[in-house]
Amino acid sequence: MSSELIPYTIEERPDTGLYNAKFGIWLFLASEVMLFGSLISSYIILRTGSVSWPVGSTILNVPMATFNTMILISSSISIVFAWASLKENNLKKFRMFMFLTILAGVAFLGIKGYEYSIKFHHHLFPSTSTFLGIYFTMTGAHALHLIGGVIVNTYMLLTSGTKFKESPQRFTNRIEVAGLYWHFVDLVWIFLFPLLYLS
Amino acid sequence: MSQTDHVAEDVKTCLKVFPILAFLILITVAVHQSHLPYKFQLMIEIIKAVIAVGYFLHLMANRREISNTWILTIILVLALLFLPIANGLNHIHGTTDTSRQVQQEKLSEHQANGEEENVH
Repeated sequence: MSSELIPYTIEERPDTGLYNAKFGIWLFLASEVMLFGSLISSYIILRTGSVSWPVGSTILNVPMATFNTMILISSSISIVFAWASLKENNLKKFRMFMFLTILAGVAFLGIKGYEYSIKFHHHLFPSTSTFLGIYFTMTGAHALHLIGGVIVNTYMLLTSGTKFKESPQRFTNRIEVAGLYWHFVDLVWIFLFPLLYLS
Repeated sequence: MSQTDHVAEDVKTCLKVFPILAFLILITVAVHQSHLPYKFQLMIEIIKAVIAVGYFLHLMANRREISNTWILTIILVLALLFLPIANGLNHIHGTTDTSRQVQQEKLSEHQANGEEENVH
Protein backbone atom coordinates (compact mmCIF):
# COMPACT_ATOMS: atom_id res chain seq x y z
CA MET A 1 0.00 0.00 0.00
CA SER A 2 1.49 3.33 -0.95
CA SER A 3 1.74 6.09 1.61
CA GLU A 4 -0.41 8.38 -0.58
CA LEU A 5 -3.47 6.34 0.41
CA ILE A 6 -3.14 7.37 4.04
CA PRO A 7 -4.36 10.94 4.33
CA TYR A 8 -2.96 13.72 6.52
CA THR A 9 0.33 12.08 7.49
CA ILE A 10 2.19 15.27 6.62
CA GLU A 11 -0.30 18.05 5.97
CA GLU A 12 -2.73 19.22 8.64
CA ARG A 13 -6.38 18.21 8.60
CA PRO A 14 -8.51 21.29 8.01
CA ASP A 15 -10.93 20.42 10.83
CA THR A 16 -8.41 19.59 13.58
CA GLY A 17 -5.51 21.73 12.36
CA LEU A 18 -3.15 18.82 13.05
CA TYR A 19 -1.80 15.83 11.15
CA ASN A 20 -3.60 12.62 12.09
CA ALA A 21 -0.81 10.97 14.10
CA LYS A 22 -0.48 13.99 16.36
CA PHE A 23 -4.21 14.18 17.00
CA GLY A 24 -4.21 10.42 17.65
CA ILE A 25 -1.34 10.54 20.14
CA TRP A 26 -3.05 13.33 22.13
CA LEU A 27 -6.21 11.23 22.39
CA PHE A 28 -4.14 8.19 23.34
CA LEU A 29 -2.31 10.19 26.03
CA ALA A 30 -5.67 11.38 27.39
CA SER A 31 -6.62 7.72 27.85
CA GLU A 32 -3.28 7.14 29.56
CA VAL A 33 -4.12 9.94 31.99
CA MET A 34 -7.23 7.92 32.89
CA LEU A 35 -5.15 4.77 33.43
CA PHE A 36 -2.54 6.35 35.68
CA GLY A 37 -5.23 8.52 37.32
CA SER A 38 -7.11 5.37 38.34
CA LEU A 39 -3.91 3.82 39.71
CA ILE A 40 -3.17 6.95 41.74
CA SER A 41 -6.80 6.95 42.91
CA SER A 42 -6.41 3.31 44.02
CA TYR A 43 -3.23 4.24 45.88
CA ILE A 44 -4.98 7.08 47.75
CA ILE A 45 -8.00 4.94 48.63
CA LEU A 46 -5.80 2.09 49.88
CA ARG A 47 -3.67 4.50 51.87
CA THR A 48 -6.54 6.43 53.48
CA GLY A 49 -8.33 3.18 54.28
CA SER A 50 -5.35 1.48 55.85
CA VAL A 51 -4.67 1.44 59.60
CA SER A 52 -0.92 1.81 59.12
CA TRP A 53 1.09 2.76 56.04
CA PRO A 54 4.88 2.62 55.76
CA VAL A 55 7.00 5.60 54.71
CA GLY A 56 8.25 4.62 51.25
CA SER A 57 11.84 5.63 51.97
CA THR A 58 12.09 3.05 54.77
CA ILE A 59 11.51 0.21 52.29
CA LEU A 60 12.60 1.67 48.94
CA ASN A 61 15.95 2.99 47.77
CA VAL A 62 15.56 6.79 47.42
CA PRO A 63 19.08 7.67 46.09
CA MET A 64 18.82 5.01 43.38
CA ALA A 65 15.35 6.23 42.35
CA THR A 66 16.53 9.88 42.35
CA PHE A 67 19.38 8.93 40.02
CA ASN A 68 16.91 7.03 37.84
CA THR A 69 14.63 10.10 37.68
CA MET A 70 17.54 12.25 36.50
CA ILE A 71 18.30 9.70 33.76
CA LEU A 72 14.69 9.81 32.55
CA ILE A 73 14.59 13.63 32.56
CA SER A 74 17.82 13.71 30.50
CA SER A 75 16.22 11.36 27.98
CA SER A 76 13.28 13.77 27.54
CA ILE A 77 15.76 16.50 26.62
CA SER A 78 17.68 14.24 24.23
CA ILE A 79 14.52 13.21 22.34
CA VAL A 80 13.68 16.89 21.74
CA PHE A 81 17.20 17.35 20.36
CA ALA A 82 16.69 14.28 18.13
CA TRP A 83 13.51 15.84 16.71
CA ALA A 84 15.21 19.23 16.28
CA SER A 85 18.07 17.52 14.40
CA LEU A 86 15.59 16.10 11.90
CA LYS A 87 14.12 19.56 11.41
CA GLU A 88 17.67 20.65 10.48
CA ASN A 89 17.92 17.64 8.10
CA ASN A 90 20.81 16.27 10.15
CA LEU A 91 20.26 12.52 10.27
CA LYS A 92 23.63 11.78 11.91
CA LYS A 93 22.85 14.05 14.85
CA PHE A 94 19.36 12.55 15.09
CA ARG A 95 20.83 9.05 15.35
CA MET A 96 23.20 10.14 18.12
CA PHE A 97 20.44 11.78 20.20
CA MET A 98 17.98 8.96 19.59
CA PHE A 99 20.63 6.44 20.64
CA LEU A 100 21.19 8.44 23.85
CA THR A 101 17.41 8.46 24.51
CA ILE A 102 17.20 4.68 24.07
CA LEU A 103 20.30 4.20 26.21
CA ALA A 104 18.74 6.29 28.99
CA GLY A 105 15.50 4.30 28.75
CA VAL A 106 17.37 0.99 28.96
CA ALA A 107 19.48 2.31 31.87
CA PHE A 108 16.30 3.31 33.72
CA LEU A 109 14.80 -0.14 33.16
CA GLY A 110 18.07 -1.80 34.21
CA ILE A 111 18.18 0.13 37.49
CA LYS A 112 14.48 -0.56 38.09
CA GLY A 113 15.10 -4.26 37.46
CA TYR A 114 17.99 -4.19 39.92
CA GLU A 115 15.73 -2.47 42.49
CA TYR A 116 13.10 -5.18 41.96
CA SER A 117 15.70 -7.94 42.32
CA ILE A 118 16.87 -6.49 45.68
CA LYS A 119 13.25 -6.48 46.88
CA PHE A 120 12.73 -10.09 45.77
CA HIS A 121 16.03 -11.08 47.37
CA HIS A 122 14.73 -9.69 50.68
CA HIS A 123 11.47 -11.62 50.17
CA LEU A 124 9.50 -8.46 49.50
CA PHE A 125 6.87 -9.39 46.93
CA PRO A 126 3.65 -7.69 45.74
CA SER A 127 1.75 -10.07 48.01
CA THR A 128 3.81 -9.07 51.08
CA SER A 129 1.84 -5.90 51.87
CA THR A 130 -0.70 -3.50 50.35
CA PHE A 131 2.03 -0.88 49.96
CA LEU A 132 4.27 -3.25 48.01
CA GLY A 133 1.28 -4.45 46.00
CA ILE A 134 0.45 -0.95 44.75
CA TYR A 135 4.18 -0.08 44.40
CA PHE A 136 4.83 -3.01 42.06
CA THR A 137 1.59 -2.37 40.14
CA MET A 138 2.29 1.33 39.54
CA THR A 139 6.00 1.04 38.79
CA GLY A 140 5.38 -2.11 36.73
CA ALA A 141 2.73 -0.34 34.60
CA HIS A 142 5.15 2.54 34.13
CA ALA A 143 8.02 0.20 33.21
CA LEU A 144 5.80 -1.52 30.61
CA HIS A 145 5.09 1.88 29.05
CA LEU A 146 8.79 2.62 29.01
CA ILE A 147 9.55 -0.73 27.34
CA GLY A 148 6.97 0.17 24.66
CA GLY A 149 8.66 3.54 24.15
CA VAL A 150 12.13 1.95 23.89
CA ILE A 151 10.85 -0.53 21.26
CA VAL A 152 9.28 2.26 19.18
CA ASN A 153 12.37 4.48 19.46
CA THR A 154 14.66 1.59 18.51
CA TYR A 155 12.51 0.85 15.47
CA MET A 156 12.67 4.53 14.48
CA LEU A 157 16.45 4.55 14.89
CA LEU A 158 16.99 1.36 12.90
CA THR A 159 14.72 2.39 10.02
CA SER A 160 15.67 6.08 10.05
CA GLY A 161 17.90 5.79 6.94
CA THR A 162 15.21 4.49 4.61
CA LYS A 163 12.22 6.23 6.19
CA PHE A 164 13.87 9.64 6.24
CA LYS A 165 14.88 9.30 2.58
CA GLU A 166 11.35 8.21 1.62
CA SER A 167 9.61 11.14 3.29
CA PRO A 168 11.61 13.41 5.62
CA GLN A 169 8.57 15.36 6.83
CA ARG A 170 6.54 12.25 7.65
CA PHE A 171 9.46 10.70 9.53
CA THR A 172 10.01 13.94 11.48
CA ASN A 173 6.32 13.91 12.42
CA ARG A 174 6.65 10.33 13.65
CA ILE A 175 9.56 11.32 15.89
CA GLU A 176 7.54 14.27 17.22
CA VAL A 177 4.72 11.88 18.15
CA ALA A 178 7.16 9.39 19.73
CA GLY A 179 8.65 12.32 21.65
CA LEU A 180 5.24 13.35 23.03
CA TYR A 181 4.70 9.82 24.32
CA TRP A 182 8.18 9.79 25.85
CA HIS A 183 7.52 13.12 27.61
CA PHE A 184 4.31 11.72 29.04
CA VAL A 185 6.02 8.59 30.39
CA ASP A 186 8.73 10.81 31.91
CA LEU A 187 6.20 13.15 33.56
CA VAL A 188 4.25 10.21 34.98
CA TRP A 189 7.43 9.02 36.70
CA ILE A 190 8.12 12.53 38.04
CA PHE A 191 4.85 12.21 40.02
CA LEU A 192 5.10 8.50 40.88
CA PHE A 193 8.52 8.97 42.44
CA PRO A 194 7.52 11.31 45.32
CA LEU A 195 4.19 9.53 45.78
CA LEU A 196 5.76 6.11 46.33
CA TYR A 197 9.25 6.89 47.62
CA LEU A 198 8.89 10.09 49.64
CA SER A 199 5.41 10.22 51.14
CA MET B 1 7.15 32.78 13.31
CA SER B 2 9.25 30.70 10.86
CA GLN B 3 9.67 26.96 11.26
CA THR B 4 13.30 27.35 12.42
CA ASP B 5 12.22 29.86 15.05
CA HIS B 6 9.46 27.51 16.15
CA VAL B 7 11.92 24.60 16.59
CA ALA B 8 14.39 26.84 18.45
CA GLU B 9 11.55 28.03 20.70
CA ASP B 10 10.52 24.42 21.45
CA VAL B 11 14.10 23.40 22.28
CA LYS B 12 14.50 26.47 24.49
CA THR B 13 11.28 25.67 26.39
CA CYS B 14 12.35 22.05 26.87
CA LEU B 15 15.76 23.21 28.15
CA LYS B 16 13.98 25.39 30.71
CA VAL B 17 11.25 22.97 31.84
CA PHE B 18 13.16 19.72 32.38
CA PRO B 19 16.13 21.14 34.33
CA ILE B 20 13.62 23.01 36.56
CA LEU B 21 11.73 19.75 37.15
CA ALA B 22 15.02 17.95 37.91
CA PHE B 23 15.96 20.71 40.37
CA LEU B 24 12.54 20.54 42.05
CA ILE B 25 12.88 16.77 42.42
CA LEU B 26 16.21 17.24 44.17
CA ILE B 27 14.59 19.85 46.44
CA THR B 28 11.74 17.41 47.23
CA VAL B 29 14.26 14.70 48.18
CA ALA B 30 16.20 17.21 50.31
CA VAL B 31 12.99 18.33 52.09
CA HIS B 32 12.10 14.70 52.74
CA GLN B 33 15.57 13.76 54.01
CA SER B 34 15.76 16.77 56.33
CA HIS B 35 12.36 15.83 57.84
CA LEU B 36 10.83 19.24 57.12
CA PRO B 37 7.02 19.52 57.36
CA TYR B 38 5.14 17.61 54.70
CA LYS B 39 3.45 20.81 53.45
CA PHE B 40 6.75 21.95 51.86
CA GLN B 41 6.87 18.76 49.84
CA LEU B 42 3.24 19.26 48.84
CA MET B 43 3.94 22.83 47.73
CA ILE B 44 6.80 21.65 45.50
CA GLU B 45 4.54 18.96 44.04
CA ILE B 46 1.93 21.60 43.16
CA ILE B 47 4.61 23.74 41.45
CA LYS B 48 5.80 20.65 39.54
CA ALA B 49 2.25 19.83 38.46
CA VAL B 50 1.70 23.41 37.24
CA ILE B 51 4.96 23.28 35.23
CA ALA B 52 4.06 19.89 33.73
CA VAL B 53 0.55 21.05 32.77
CA GLY B 54 1.98 24.30 31.37
CA TYR B 55 4.50 22.38 29.27
CA PHE B 56 1.82 20.10 27.85
CA LEU B 57 -0.41 23.09 27.05
CA HIS B 58 2.56 24.65 25.24
CA LEU B 59 3.03 21.43 23.23
CA MET B 60 -0.67 21.39 22.34
CA ALA B 61 -0.13 24.74 20.62
CA ASN B 62 -3.60 25.98 21.54
CA ARG B 63 -5.51 23.41 19.49
CA ARG B 64 -9.03 23.63 20.80
CA GLU B 65 -9.95 19.97 20.16
CA ILE B 66 -7.00 18.64 22.14
CA SER B 67 -7.34 21.19 24.92
CA ASN B 68 -11.05 20.37 25.32
CA THR B 69 -10.38 16.62 25.31
CA TRP B 70 -7.68 16.99 27.93
CA ILE B 71 -9.70 19.36 30.12
CA LEU B 72 -12.60 16.87 30.03
CA THR B 73 -10.23 14.00 30.79
CA ILE B 74 -8.67 15.79 33.74
CA ILE B 75 -12.12 16.71 35.11
CA LEU B 76 -13.16 13.05 34.83
CA VAL B 77 -9.94 11.86 36.46
CA LEU B 78 -10.40 14.29 39.32
CA ALA B 79 -14.01 13.16 39.71
CA LEU B 80 -12.91 9.53 39.66
CA LEU B 81 -10.15 10.40 42.11
CA PHE B 82 -12.15 12.35 44.66
CA LEU B 83 -15.56 10.69 44.58
CA PRO B 84 -14.24 7.30 45.69
CA ILE B 85 -11.99 8.98 48.27
CA ALA B 86 -14.95 10.86 49.73
CA ASN B 87 -16.96 7.67 49.63
CA GLY B 88 -14.08 5.72 51.14
CA LEU B 89 -13.70 8.15 54.01
CA ASN B 90 -17.42 7.93 54.76
CA HIS B 91 -17.12 4.19 54.64
CA ILE B 92 -14.30 4.26 57.17
CA HIS B 93 -16.31 6.57 59.42
CA GLY B 94 -19.31 4.33 58.97
CA THR B 95 -17.32 1.26 59.92
CA THR B 96 -16.00 2.96 63.02
CA ASP B 97 -19.46 4.12 64.00
CA THR B 98 -20.89 0.66 63.37
CA SER B 99 -18.18 -1.04 65.40
CA ARG B 100 -18.75 1.45 68.22
CA GLN B 101 -22.46 0.79 67.98
CA VAL B 102 -21.88 -2.99 68.07
CA GLN B 103 -19.58 -2.63 71.06
CA GLN B 104 -22.14 -0.45 72.81
CA GLU B 105 -24.92 -2.96 72.07
CA LYS B 106 -22.78 -5.85 73.38
CA LEU B 107 -21.94 -3.89 76.49
CA SER B 108 -25.56 -3.03 77.25
CA GLU B 109 -26.58 -6.64 76.50
CA HIS B 110 -23.90 -7.85 78.89
CA GLN B 111 -25.05 -5.39 81.54
CA ALA B 112 -28.68 -6.45 81.07
CA ASN B 113 -27.68 -10.12 81.42
CA GLY B 114 -25.74 -9.28 84.58
CA GLU B 115 -28.72 -7.49 86.05
CA GLU B 116 -30.99 -10.44 85.19
CA GLU B 117 -28.54 -12.85 86.89
CA ASN B 118 -28.53 -10.62 89.96
CA VAL B 119 -32.32 -10.65 90.06
CA HIS B 120 -32.39 -14.47 89.84
